[in-house]
Amino acid sequence: MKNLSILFLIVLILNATAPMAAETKSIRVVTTLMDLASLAKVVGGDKILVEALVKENQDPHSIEVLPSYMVKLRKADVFLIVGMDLDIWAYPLRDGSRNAKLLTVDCSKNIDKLEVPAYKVDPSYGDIHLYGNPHYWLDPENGKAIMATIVDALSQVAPESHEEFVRNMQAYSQKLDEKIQTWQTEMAPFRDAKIIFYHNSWPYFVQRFGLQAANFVEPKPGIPPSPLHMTRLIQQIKEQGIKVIAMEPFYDDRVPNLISRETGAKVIKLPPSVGGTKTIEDYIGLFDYNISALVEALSN
Amino acid sequence: MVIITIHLLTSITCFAQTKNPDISVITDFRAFSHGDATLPQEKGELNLNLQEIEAAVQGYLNPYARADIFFAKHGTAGELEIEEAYATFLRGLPWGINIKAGKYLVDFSKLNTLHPHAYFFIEQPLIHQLYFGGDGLNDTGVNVSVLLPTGDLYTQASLNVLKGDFLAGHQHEEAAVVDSLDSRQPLAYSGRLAVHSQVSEYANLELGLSGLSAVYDPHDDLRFLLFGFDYKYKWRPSRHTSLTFQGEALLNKRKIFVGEEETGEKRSITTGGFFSYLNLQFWQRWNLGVEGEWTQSPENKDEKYWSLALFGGFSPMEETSVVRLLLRRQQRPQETAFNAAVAQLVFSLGPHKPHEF
Repeated sequence: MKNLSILFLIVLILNATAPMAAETKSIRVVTTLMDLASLAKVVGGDKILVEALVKENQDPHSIEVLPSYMVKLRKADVFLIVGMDLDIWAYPLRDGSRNAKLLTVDCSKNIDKLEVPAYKVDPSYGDIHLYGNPHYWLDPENGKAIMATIVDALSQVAPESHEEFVRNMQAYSQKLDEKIQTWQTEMAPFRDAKIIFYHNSWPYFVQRFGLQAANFVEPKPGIPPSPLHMTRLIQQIKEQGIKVIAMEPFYDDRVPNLISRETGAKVIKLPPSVGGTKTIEDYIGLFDYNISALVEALSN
Repeated sequence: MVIITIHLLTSITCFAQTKNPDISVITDFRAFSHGDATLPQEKGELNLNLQEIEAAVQGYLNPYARADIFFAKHGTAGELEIEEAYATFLRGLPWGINIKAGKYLVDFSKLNTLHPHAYFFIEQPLIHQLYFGGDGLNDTGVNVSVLLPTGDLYTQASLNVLKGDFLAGHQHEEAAVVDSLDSRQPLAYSGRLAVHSQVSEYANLELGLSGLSAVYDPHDDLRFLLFGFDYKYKWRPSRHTSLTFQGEALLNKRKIFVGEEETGEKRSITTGGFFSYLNLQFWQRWNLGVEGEWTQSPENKDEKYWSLALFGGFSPMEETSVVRLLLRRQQRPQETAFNAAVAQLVFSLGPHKPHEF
C-alpha cells in the first residue's frame, strides 16, 4: 500500500510538472546571418534558442552547403534567411535537413528594396541580384522591419507569446530610434562625403547616413579589379579628394592598399555583420563600430 | 472587357515566368597532347576537342518535390544524351525519407555523383573508368534515403534499386547478343552509409561506405560485388584559402568465366584500386594539387594501372569560367608509360548554384 502511494505521488508530480516543461520549451531558431540572429534574440528573449550559420568574417555570398548545417536545421523550428538571392545556399540546406515542420522565413518581405534592376540582367553586369541589393540590414531602420517579420514567424510557432514578442520588438525599436538619431548626429558633419567601397554592400547604409558611394574597387559586383579600373580609381580619388576606401574584412586587401599607397586615401575595414570583430556583439554594436570607424577616418 | 483580358494575359505571363525552372549550360573545351601509342592519330599532336556540352533544367515541382534534368552531348559528333533525369520527393514522407526516381549518378562513393566538369583533376579516375564505365555509375532506378538519429553527426543511409544499364559496357560481346534474345538484365542493388562531421570551426570531414551487387553477365550468371570506402576532408579558413584531401578505395569480388563456352569454368577473383588527391586553393581564384591512382583490372588482377598527375586551375571570374591544366604520367598493362598534358576551359551560362561540400 505504501509502495502504491509513492507511485501515485510520483505520477502526480510528473503530471504537474509536464505542462511546466512544455511551457518552458524554447523555440529553436537558426538564421543565415548573425545580424538576423541578434534581432531574433531581441524579439524572442528567453523564449528562443538562436544560432547563426555564417560566422564572424565569412562572406555570405560564398557559403558552402555543409551537412553539419543541415543537422542544426533538423532540430530547428524557424529558419530566418536574408533572401533576395544572397543566401541561395539556404534552400539546399533546408531541403537537406528533412525537417518537415521547419518554418522558413524570408526576412526581406517587409523591406523597401533598393537597386531592383529595371532592365534585363545578365552576367555582363557582374553578380547582380535580380530582386535588388540584398544588404538591407545595413540600414538600422530596416532592423525594425526585420523584427516585425521575426515577430510574425515566432508567433506562428508560439502564438501564446505573441504579445511578449511585440513588447520586446517595441522596446528595441525605441532603443534603435534613439541610436539612429545619435548616429545621424555623428555623421552629420560628413554629409555627402564620397567613399570608395570595395563591394556594393552599402547602399542602404549610405542612404541612411547621407554618404555617397563614389565608386567601387570591384568594377562590377563580384568582378575582380582590372589594372585599367585601378588606374581610373586612382585618378578619381586624386581628382575628387576622396579620403576613405571602405572594405569588408573578408575581401583581399592588396588592391585597396595599393590604391591607398598611390593616393593617400585611408583603407578602413567595415564589418557588414554582427561578429565581424570581437567587439561587435549585437545589431546596435554593428552600427556603433562602423559609424565610429567612419567618423574617425573621415575626420582625418 | 478589354481591361480584364489584358489583366488576365498579364497574370498568365507573370505566372508562366515565375514557374520557369533554372536553366544552365556548361561547356567543357579541351586541348591536349599525349604519348599514348594506342591512339596513334593523336599521339604527339596538339588535339582540340569540345569534350562536352551539358544543359541542366532544374526546379521545384511543388512544395514536396523537385526535378533535375541534365542533357549532355559529348564532342561535336556525339549524340545528345540524357545524362540525368530524376524527381526527388523531399518532404511529406514519414521519418524524413527522401525518394529519388529516374536516371541519375548513383551515390556509390562521393565523387561519382559529381559531374566530371567539376573535377579539379579534369579526367575521370581510372577506377571509375574501369569499374563503372566512361559515364560513371549512372543508371535508371530508385533511391531511398534516410537520415539516422546520430546527434550532431549527419549520417545518411541510402539504398538503390537499379536497372543495370551501366553494366552494358562490361558485357562480353557474345553474351550481349544472347542476352538481347533470351535474357533480361537482372536488377542491381547498391547502398551507401555516409557520415559527415564538422571537426573544427573551419574543417569538415565526410566518410562513406558503399556496396553494390550486380549480375554483369546474365547468360553465364556472372555476378560481382563492389565495396567502396571514400573520404573527404576540407579545411577552409577563409573564402580565399582551402585545402581538400579526398579519395576512394574500391574492392571488387567477381565471378569470371575462364576457358571455352562448353569446357570453361567459373572462378572467383578479387581486385581493387584507389585514387586520392590533395588540392590547395590559394588567393581565392587559384588552385594547385596532386592526384595519384593505382588499380587492377576488374577481371584480371595481374593487369595493373597507375597514374600520377599534377593539376592547377584558375577562375578568371568566379562561377562562370575556369581554366585548368593537368600533367599526367600513366602506365597501362603491357604498355610503356606515357605522359599527357590537358588544358581545359569550362564556361557556364545560367544562374549561380550553391557550392556543395
